[in-house]
Amino acid sequence: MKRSSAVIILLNLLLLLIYFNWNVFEKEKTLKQGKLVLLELAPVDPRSLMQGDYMRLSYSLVQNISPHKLPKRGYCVVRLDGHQVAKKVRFQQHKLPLHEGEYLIKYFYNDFIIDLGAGSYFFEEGTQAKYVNAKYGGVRIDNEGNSVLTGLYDKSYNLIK
Amino acid sequence: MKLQSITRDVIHTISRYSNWKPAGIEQSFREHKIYSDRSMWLRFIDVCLLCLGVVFTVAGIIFFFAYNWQDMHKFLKLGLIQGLLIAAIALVVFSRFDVFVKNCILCGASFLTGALFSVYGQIYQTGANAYDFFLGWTVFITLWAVVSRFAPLWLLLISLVDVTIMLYANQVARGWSAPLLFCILFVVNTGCLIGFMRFERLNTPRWFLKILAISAVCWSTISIVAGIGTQYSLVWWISLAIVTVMYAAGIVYSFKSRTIFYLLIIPLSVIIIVSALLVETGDQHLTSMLLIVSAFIVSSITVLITQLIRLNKTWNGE
Repeated sequence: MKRSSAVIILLNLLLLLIYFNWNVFEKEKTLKQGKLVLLELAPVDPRSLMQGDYMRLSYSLVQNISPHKLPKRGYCVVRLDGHQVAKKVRFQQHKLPLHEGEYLIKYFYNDFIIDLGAGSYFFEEGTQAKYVNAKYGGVRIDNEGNSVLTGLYDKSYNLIK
Repeated sequence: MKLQSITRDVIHTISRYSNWKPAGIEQSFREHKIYSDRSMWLRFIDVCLLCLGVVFTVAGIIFFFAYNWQDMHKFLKLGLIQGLLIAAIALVVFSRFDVFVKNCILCGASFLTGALFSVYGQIYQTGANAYDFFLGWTVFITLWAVVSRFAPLWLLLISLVDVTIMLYANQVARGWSAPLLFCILFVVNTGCLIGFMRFERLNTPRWFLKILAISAVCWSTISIVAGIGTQYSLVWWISLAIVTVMYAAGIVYSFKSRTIFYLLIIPLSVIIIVSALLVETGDQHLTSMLLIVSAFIVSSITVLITQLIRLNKTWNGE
């Protein structure tokens, strides 16, 4: 092994670890400090609901909209009611304008469906019974509109454990 | 006429037309390494066991995570994979194994990098950004592939580049037509192929070049066929021009260097494209057109095969 190759291999590993852990750190920050927002789940086709150990999620926030002219990546602006449940205000391409009490959630749109990030929730096999009652998906969002799915909530706004 | 390498066929032919004794024939088989001797077998077993070991190790790691998913803290999962990655790279850099073993370990590390990104994606439920995942994976194994000069790792890298380009077209860029996307893939893969052929000192194995060539020709065929029957856009004409020039260059190169391989895959691609054109033009009288297309395919393949056999005889004297 030539010295230069060894240096390059190690340097690459170092960069990879730095980049990766910085990403993990950012996600953790969002989980700790982000605003908790509940997104109402739309019913999904039950046949695709339980495939092994995950559940497909679909949010009623972005159902029944036929966006023909939406940019591929942008922001969904929401307001929260008393139970932290999000109500859609509008879609926009950039972070501004943003008024008092409005929050941003990044979306991603691929000509058919609008995706708010978490499209599925993973859980242990055999525990699906308790997730049948899920009515909301809980996400934590930061100021950039990045969201991290934290768990599923039932109709009385309690986290399903 | 270059001097022929002694192959099994040559020895057979000579023995048939001479009074060569069986013992002598066996002797020459051994001398020309047609019969594998003990050291070659040992080397073969070595390589086999090593490759199996790497594959089983990586698979074992992935299954371990799948099985213990719920019972492990997320930092433990991420930490474990990163620890394994560090250990693998430490082996590559600081151990005294030979280069081939080190390269196999580096391949394993490259797959682990993918596992790392996918575990991250699962823990933080990052959802649909498959493009970001593949881009990260591609970027972070590029340098390893460049340094190692190891064909399997190059193959992994180029496959990842192709997948990343496709996902970019799907998820980020808007309105890339199929001819455009596959033309880009064709140019990228052909560029890699020419690059590897130019640098002889990389001494890339022939199977790797062949896989690259096949993938490039697949992309070009899809690019042209996908644009047939829609409105012929400017992109399609540009794609057609690029593909035509590259095919012509490939054929010229084949005749100069006396390689049969490109003379097989390029005409095959052309036959597919012409068939698609025929089907498209004859959509009014479909049944008769299908007959014509079938006849065209049968006759053109026949001509191609007979010509290739003839060329092979003159070039390789078999």
